[in-house]
Amino acid sequence: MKKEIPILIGFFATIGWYLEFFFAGTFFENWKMFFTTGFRSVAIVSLIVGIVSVLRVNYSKIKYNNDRWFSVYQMCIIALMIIFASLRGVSPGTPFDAMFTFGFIPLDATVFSLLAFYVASAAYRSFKIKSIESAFLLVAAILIMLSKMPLGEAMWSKIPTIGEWIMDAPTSAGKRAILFGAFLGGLTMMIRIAFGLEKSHLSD
Amino acid sequence: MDLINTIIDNTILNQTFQVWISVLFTLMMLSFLFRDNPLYKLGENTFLGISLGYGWVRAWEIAIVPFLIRPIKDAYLDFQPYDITLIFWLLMGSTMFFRFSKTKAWVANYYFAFVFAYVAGYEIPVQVQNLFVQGANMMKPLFEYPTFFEISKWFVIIFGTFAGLMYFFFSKPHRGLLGKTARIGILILMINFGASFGATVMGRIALFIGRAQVLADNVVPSIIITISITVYLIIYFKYIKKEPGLDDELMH
Repeated sequence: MKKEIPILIGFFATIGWYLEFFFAGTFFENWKMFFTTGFRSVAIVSLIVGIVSVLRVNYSKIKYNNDRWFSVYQMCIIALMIIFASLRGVSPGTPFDAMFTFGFIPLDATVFSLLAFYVASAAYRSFKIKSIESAFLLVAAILIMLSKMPLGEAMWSKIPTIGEWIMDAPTSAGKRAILFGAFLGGLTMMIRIAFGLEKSHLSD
Repeated sequence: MDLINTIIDNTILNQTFQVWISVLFTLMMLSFLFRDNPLYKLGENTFLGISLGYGWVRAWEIAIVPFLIRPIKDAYLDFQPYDITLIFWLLMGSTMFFRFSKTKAWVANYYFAFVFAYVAGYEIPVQVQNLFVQGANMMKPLFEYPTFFEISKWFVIIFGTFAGLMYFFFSKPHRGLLGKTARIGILILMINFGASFGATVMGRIALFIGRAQVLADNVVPSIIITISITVYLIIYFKYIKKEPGLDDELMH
C-alpha cells in the first residue's frame, strides 16, 4: 500500500508516453491525454500546497516568536501585493507592477551584486597556484574578467578575442563533457524511476 | 475608496516616491556588507513578500483560475462523465497535503510517484534527443568554418569534450593513453570552471555597477538615506544590540 501502489502508478504514468508509438488507436491517445491532464491538475494543487506551506511557516514563526515581526511584515507585503492586484490589475503602470519594478528589481539586483564582494573575498583567500590545474583555472578566470572590461582591451587589443575564444572553445568543451555526463546520469535515473528500481523519491 | 486611490497615487505611483524607495532598498541591502542588521532583514522580507505576492497573483491568474477553479465550476454546473477524471486527479494532487502530517506523510508518495514518473516519461526522449542534438551540433563539417580561428575552436571542442568525458570514465584505471587523455580533460574542465567563475564575477559586478549608477543618478536621496542608515547602524550596534561575549557563551 505504501510502496507498491506508488510504484505501479509510476510505471503506468511513464509507460503512457510510449504506448501510442506501439499500439494504434484512440485508447492509447486518450491514455496519454488522461495523464497529461492529470499532471496539470496535480501541478496546480501543488501550487496551493506551496501557498499553504508558506502560510504555515510564517504562522509558526509568529506563534513561537522566531523573528515574529519580520514574518508579520512579510505577510503584510504579500497582502499588499494581492490588494494592489485586486484593485487595479496587474498590467504595466499599475501599483502591482510598480511594486515589482521599484521594489523587487532593486532588491534582487542588490542581493546578487552583494555576492561580487563575497566571491572576490573568498577567491582572494582560497585561490593559490599550487598545481598546473589551478594555474589554468586562475589564468582562464583572469583572462575572462579582463576580456569583459574596457581595461582589458586598453591593455592589449587581442584580450577580448582571447576571452571569446576561451568561452567558445575550451569552456564549451568542458560544459559539453559535464552535460553529456549529466544527460546519461539523468537518463539512467529516469529509467530506474520508470521501472520502480529507484525509490528515493518515495522516502525509501 | 477615493482615499485608497489617492494614497496609492501619491505613494507607489508617485515618481519621487519610486526613486526614494528604490534607493532605500538598495542601501538597506548593501548595509549587510557591514554586518547582519534589522534593515537588511527588513529588505530581505520585502524581497520575499513581493516575490511571493507576485508569484501567487500570477499563479492565480495563469494556472489556478483557468485549470482548477473554472473546470470545477463547469463540472458543478453541468456534470459530464469525463469530469470524474478531474475529481480523480484532484484527489491525487490532494495527497500532497498529507506531507504536513507526521503519521500519514506516506500518502503523499502517490503524488510524488506520479509526478516523478510522468516527468521521467517525458524526459527520457528529450534527454536522448538532446544528446544527439549536442553531438550533431558539435560535429559540423570542418571546412564549413571560414577562418583558422574558427577551425581551432572546432578541434578544441571535439577533442576537449572527448578528453573531458574520458576524465569521467571510471571503468578503467587512468593510466597510459587514457590517463593522458583524462589529464587533458582535467585541464579543459579547469579552464571551464575558471571561465565560469570569471563570467559570474563580472555579471555580479555589472549588477553592482547598475545599482551604483542608480545611487549616483539620485544624489540627494542617496546621501540622506546613507546618513540615516549609518546613524541607525551606529545606534543599533552601540546601544540596542548586545553581542554575546565569550563568557556568556561559556556559561551556557
